[in-house]
Amino acid sequence: MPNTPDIDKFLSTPLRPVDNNGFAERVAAQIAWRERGMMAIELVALFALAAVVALFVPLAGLLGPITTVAVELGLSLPFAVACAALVLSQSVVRLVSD
Amino acid sequence: MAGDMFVDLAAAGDRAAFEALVRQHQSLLRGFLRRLTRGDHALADDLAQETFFEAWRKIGQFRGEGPFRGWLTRIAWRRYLMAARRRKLEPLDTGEEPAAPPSTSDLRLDLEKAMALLTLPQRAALTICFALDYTHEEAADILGMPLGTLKSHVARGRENMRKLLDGS
Repeated sequence: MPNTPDIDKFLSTPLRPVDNNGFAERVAAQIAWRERGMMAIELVALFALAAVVALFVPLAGLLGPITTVAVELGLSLPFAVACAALVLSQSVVRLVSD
Repeated sequence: MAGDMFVDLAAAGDRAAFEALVRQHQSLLRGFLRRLTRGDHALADDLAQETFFEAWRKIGQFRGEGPFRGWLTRIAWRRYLMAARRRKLEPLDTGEEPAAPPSTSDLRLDLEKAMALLTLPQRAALTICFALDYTHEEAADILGMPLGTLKSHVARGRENMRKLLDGS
C-alpha cells in the first residue's frame, strides 16, 4: 500500500480488465443498424428530390432532345471506338492484375 | 502485425475486421472511460460505443502515425468531454483542486476511489501516462493540450494522489 513514496508504481497498475460480454457484437450490430438507417434516409431524400425535380422539369419538352442525342451517339463511330477502347483497356488491366 | 491488418481491412469497409478491432481494444477503452466517469459503467459503455462508431466512420482518416489505440483513446477523450459538457458532469478545464478535501480513511487501499477525487485533467493525465503507459508527448497529443500543461497536471495529480493515499 503506498503510504510510501512509491506512488508511480502504484499509479502504473494496469486498468482493471473489462470482459467483452457481447460488447463487440453489440457495437457491430449498432453499426449495421445505423448504416441501414442512413441508407434509408439517403434513399428517401433521393426520391423526394427526384419527385421535386419531376414536378418542375418539363419532361415532355426534354424527351425529344434526349432521344436525338441517344440515337446520334448510338450511330457515332468515334463514340463506338471510345467505348471499345475503354472495354479493352479494362480487360487488359484485369488480365494484368490477375 | 495483426492489428495493422485489421485496421487496413476495416478501412476498406470490412465490418468483421472492425469487430475484431473492437474486441481487441474494448477492455482498454472501457477501462479508461470508467476511470473518467468515476466508475459509471453504463455511461462509460455508452461512450465506448459512440467512440467505436465514430472510429468506424473515420477509420479512413487514420494515418498510422501513432498506435491505433492512441487514436481511439483520443476519440474517447473527446466523447467524454462532450458528454461532460452536455450533462454537466464536472468542471472540464479547471486547474483547481476538489473544493472539499474528503476523508482519506477509506481511500488507503483503493486507487479508483482516490483517483475519482482528482480533477478531470489530472485523472486523465495520470491514467494515460501511467496505467496506459504513454509518453508525455503522446498523452499531450491525445488530450489535446500543450506538453507543459500535461506535465503540470501529472505533477499535481501525483502529489494529490500521494496526499490522499498517505492520508497526510
